[in-house]
Amino acid sequence: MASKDQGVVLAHDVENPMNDPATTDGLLGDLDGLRTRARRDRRATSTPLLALGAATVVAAFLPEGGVMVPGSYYWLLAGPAVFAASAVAFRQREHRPGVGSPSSAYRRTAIILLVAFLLLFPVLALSGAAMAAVALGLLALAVWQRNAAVAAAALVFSTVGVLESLFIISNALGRLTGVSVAEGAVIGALGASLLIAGALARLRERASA
Amino acid sequence: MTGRTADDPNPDVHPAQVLDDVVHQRSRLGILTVLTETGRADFPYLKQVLGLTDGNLGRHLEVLAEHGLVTITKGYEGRRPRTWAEITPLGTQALAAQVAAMRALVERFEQVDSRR
Repeated sequence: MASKDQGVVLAHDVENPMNDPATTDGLLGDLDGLRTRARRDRRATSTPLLALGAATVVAAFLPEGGVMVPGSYYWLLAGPAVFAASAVAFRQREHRPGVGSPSSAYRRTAIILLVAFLLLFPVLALSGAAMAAVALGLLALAVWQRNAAVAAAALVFSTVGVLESLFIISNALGRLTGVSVAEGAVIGALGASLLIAGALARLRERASA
Repeated sequence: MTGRTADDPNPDVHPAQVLDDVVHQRSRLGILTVLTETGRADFPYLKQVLGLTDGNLGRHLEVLAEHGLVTITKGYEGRRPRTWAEITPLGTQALAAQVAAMRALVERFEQVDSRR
């Protein structure tokens, strides 16, 4: 029943409203809406933000410095722990709302980071490098999930984390304001921001559930 | 399934001819769209999101499974029976082809409309 005239809607399109371009346009819109909802139900932005935020707040209270100081080793364990905690949370989520979860991707990232940290221990013992590695793992997951909020969090976390591991931000703030910035204040603020972003994301997820 | 795609090089092929009858049904399109995003979903979730009854959803899933577009896994969680639907690579491909054909159909309609 194909028409030779490219511009004429096929006769059987009238018989089948699903082939009517006007209906099809509406249907495509409906499918976009469904896709958005399913994506939102699945990715649970709040989980990695809250886990990373909590780990970052704890980091703010640890002393930074030489390689023998606990703060230098913190992210070697906390990084994989953030992904492992997210994997557990996603696994639980999978059992509740009934959508597939990315728990295995987070679990794999936790293992990859742990192995990388063990192999590259001398390099990554510098907390800035470890934070960048954690952010890289999170960014990869954000790209895979097409999750702009988590990607933004990963970029902010790595930028602030790496710069502050060299005290660049706190020194600049001290120079600008004339007030000396307490050790860990910038990292603490970063952690608090992540926790607030995570809490807001959680509220949105609950509201739309 | 026609085996043709929306980007068929033959310009004489109208996009509506590429539409696949198995996929081109509102509820089945919805099921495949949700599963493309989530990978897999359980029966109550699909029912709720798509606003279908048990019987309707079951029939549509059966059709999709018969054509290898989804796989159905039945199991138990504790004592509760649970049914999961998972999209197959063929299902992902079929949905992409279908959406491309639908977009082509709308584009063609808009081109004709603007020429009038």
